Amino acid sequence: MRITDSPRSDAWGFFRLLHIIRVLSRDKLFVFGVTVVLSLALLSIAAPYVSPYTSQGYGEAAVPPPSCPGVPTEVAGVCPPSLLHPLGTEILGRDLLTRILFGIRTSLIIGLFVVITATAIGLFVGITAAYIGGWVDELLMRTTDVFLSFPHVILALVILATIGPNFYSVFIALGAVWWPTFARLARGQALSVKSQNYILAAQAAGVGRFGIIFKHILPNSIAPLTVQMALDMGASILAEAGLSFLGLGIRPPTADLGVMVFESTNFITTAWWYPVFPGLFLFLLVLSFNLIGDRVTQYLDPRLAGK
Amino acid sequence: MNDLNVGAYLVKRALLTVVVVIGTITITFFLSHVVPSNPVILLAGQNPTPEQIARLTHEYGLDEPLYVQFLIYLRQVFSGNLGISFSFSLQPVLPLVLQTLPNSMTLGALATLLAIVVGIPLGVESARRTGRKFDSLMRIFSVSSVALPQFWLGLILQLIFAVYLGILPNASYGGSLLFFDMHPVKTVTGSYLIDSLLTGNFVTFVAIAKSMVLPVLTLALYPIGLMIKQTRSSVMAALSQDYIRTARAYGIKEREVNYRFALKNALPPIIVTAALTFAYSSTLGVIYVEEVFNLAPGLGFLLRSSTGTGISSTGISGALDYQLILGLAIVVGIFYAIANLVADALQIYFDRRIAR
Amino acid sequence: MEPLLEIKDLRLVFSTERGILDLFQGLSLSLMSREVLGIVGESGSGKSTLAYTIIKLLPGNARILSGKVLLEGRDILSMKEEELRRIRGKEITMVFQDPSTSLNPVFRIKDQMLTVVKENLGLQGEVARKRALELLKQVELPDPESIMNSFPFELSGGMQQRVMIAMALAANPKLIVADEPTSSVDATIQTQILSLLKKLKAERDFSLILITHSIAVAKEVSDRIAVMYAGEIVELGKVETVIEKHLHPYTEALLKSIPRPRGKSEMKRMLPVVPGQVPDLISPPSGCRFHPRCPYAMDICKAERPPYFNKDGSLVMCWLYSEER
Repeated sequence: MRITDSPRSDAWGFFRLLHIIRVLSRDKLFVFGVTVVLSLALLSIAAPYVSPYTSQGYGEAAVPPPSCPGVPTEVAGVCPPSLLHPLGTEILGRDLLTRILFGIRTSLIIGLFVVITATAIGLFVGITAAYIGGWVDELLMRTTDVFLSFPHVILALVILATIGPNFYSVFIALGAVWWPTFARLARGQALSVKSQNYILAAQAAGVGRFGIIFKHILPNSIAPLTVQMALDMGASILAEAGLSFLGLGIRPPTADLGVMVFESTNFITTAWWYPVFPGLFLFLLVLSFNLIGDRVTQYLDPRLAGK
Repeated sequence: MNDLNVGAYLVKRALLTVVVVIGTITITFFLSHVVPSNPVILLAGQNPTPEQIARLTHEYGLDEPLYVQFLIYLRQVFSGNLGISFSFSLQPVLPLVLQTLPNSMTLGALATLLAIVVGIPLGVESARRTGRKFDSLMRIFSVSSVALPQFWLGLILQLIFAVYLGILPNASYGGSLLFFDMHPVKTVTGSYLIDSLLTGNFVTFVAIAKSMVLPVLTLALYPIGLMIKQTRSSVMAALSQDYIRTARAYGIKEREVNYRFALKNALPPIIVTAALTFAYSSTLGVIYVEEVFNLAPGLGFLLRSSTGTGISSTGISGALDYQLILGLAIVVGIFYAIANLVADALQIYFDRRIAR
Repeated sequence: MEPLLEIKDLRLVFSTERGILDLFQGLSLSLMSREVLGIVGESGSGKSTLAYTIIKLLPGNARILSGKVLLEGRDILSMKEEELRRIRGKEITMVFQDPSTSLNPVFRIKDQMLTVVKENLGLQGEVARKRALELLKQVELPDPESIMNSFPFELSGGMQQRVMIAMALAANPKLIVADEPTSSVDATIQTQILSLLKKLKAERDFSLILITHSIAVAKEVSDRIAVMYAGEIVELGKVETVIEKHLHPYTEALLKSIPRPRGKSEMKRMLPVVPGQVPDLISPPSGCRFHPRCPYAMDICKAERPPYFNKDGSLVMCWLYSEER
């Protein structure tokens, strides 16, 4: 090991992670969160291969519409839960469970993408601010403050209003407004790494600016951001569903939980399963991510829990 | 502690608020230009000639460089011109938003009030019982409330209270879209609830209030969770301080120790949470709730119309009313900035040390 | 005569992250009416914990294993919260170490004084206000009216401590426990506060327990002095006896550490310096807890905890005095 290498960051990180996992595996709420997230993720990945209604998951209407005796004609196609359709069917006669699992795919993909984009932009802005300092730091951080002073979703609305709603717009809009928290975190982290002895040693040894940023500051800044990523998965999934509910996000025929809740609004008095299930799964998914984030934060910073 | 300090501090905060508002406008402007687009094509009506487009483009300054456009925009915004809405027969945006704001703010204010009245006591009790069953229950409640999609919660509450129990109306002010045709309310403040009360129209007032119960509950649940969490943590910090030990040593009643001596010290972050709750519930939160409960007019109704999928959209269907959305975003930004400023002032009122 | 306060065979431990901290292993002490008892010891000796035990305001990790604290025959340790509350502020009150954190920072003095006066004297309105002003006058605060309208942070440390004393006096308590009341103020103010306590003591009928790390401060006001070391009262006697004919080696060390008047540099040596460190009570030394620091340590000191020996009217917990019994 050369003197300019980051001190044992990989090995330490790994053992620390193992330790954290061991402690948290005794926490019921954390285990609940992880179990739900993993099973929903697996189910949604497996959905196209196991569902008998895969084509409906991709958006096709049910042909012929399912017939369900005893249901009023004005809700034709919307059938109560049965053996063939465990969670019932929806407005176009499609299997609700299949649509929900495909909707979870959409949520997870968008959530992941938004969080990763936000982390990337946040790291770039935060490290630039920390490394260059001076007026650049001031400008970037004040901009970050303004972004943080009102909700992400409103800003995302502005972008969506300009570029029009579709699958990719939601990525772009949410990713473009979600970074400020990450920028702040990354800046703080980069500042503390920057003053460490091995960085000074690396500078003295003549390692260039980009060398230092890519070899030292970047790897050491990512770790603390991962907790924030878990916390923000839930929030960004919720934001996406909200935008889609308002008709500004995902558009049919792509399966989306927010859109499903919107479509079910007219069926409250006639078909309870339709409004209940899509939202319930959305709630479970977001709750599980939040529980994971909450427990990890509590573990890493017990002061917040006041113990 | 003299009042000069307080005054100077507030002036400083107010100036900062102006900076944040300008920042908001700047960000909104540049975000809306992330992708080049030409609103003129939308404004010019159907089948415009190239000359018409060129004339309008020039008229709106859209052939100028971006920074000039930005300066023009900034000047417009500060003179109260937020553009015109093409989903509302080319009416100016600002009056449209201001007209709908009172109803939305009423919902937001009631939800905030509920969050304060319910959330603070639960938070204090939670702080007193750290690590016990009640505390973990409250913790699970607050984590859950943050994860609850409000647009779905509204539907579920309708399902329970309106459809199955039948004790509350499920949608619209007064329980029916035609309500105001039968019970007209004279406009005073623009908020149906307040106006019906002010004009002594009690039957109408009760009907409107009843129809607002579920929307307010829907709006309030998430803030209640936030309030519990914030109150718990800051009261807990206060309870470990020396002055609480003093109060106990002098035989002060436990209730007074918790709700007066500890709570007042814990207030500053709680005030910020309350202010943000009010801003959120009156703007973004209300958009979902007004949609679910079919409440109009309000910000949600405006936004719905601007997306071309609204319940009573009169504009070009399928197209986004871009100026209206920008205007809405700026108003929301200003709303948040003012809420923050009010929170600052209230914090000073409760703890003078902040201004030092 | 019945003692006002009697502590009988008190056993108290703290559960900490590192293990059980065994503080009091059977501590006894009694206090007569109108008596002033100084409790002296280094930080970590358990003197503050003893103060909080008397008023039963212990931190959550403290556990009382056995023992009694009797106030005129009533056991404080077995009282319910509501009973305790009625005794606190009325029969027993405390004056705390750091008035700047012990007064509530977001309430005016008025609000804090009036709450105490109303709660403990049952007075209301103008009568309560008059009483509060009177109390502030009694602790020799200039311009009580403007003090009433101040926030704590607008007052000096000495003024804050006087306000605390005024609040402690409000209900004419039988016992005031003062926990290091002068350690956060400078020497001049310290003298003033001590003479104020002496004056008030002469005017009124209360007993005082003065907790301090400085034997010099204890000497000023006390009738008797108890020297504490590592959770034990190692010597207890009349103030003159303890100062002039000290028995315990630890008392000797404490007395040596008192700064001698040496002109202007006197202030420089405020903190008592006894060689060695206070032992870690999670694994306390065997036998006499002082033996690792004691210049006279014998074999028996390591083996057995000494009992109290009576000498010259003082009690001392030291094997040095065993033959002379």
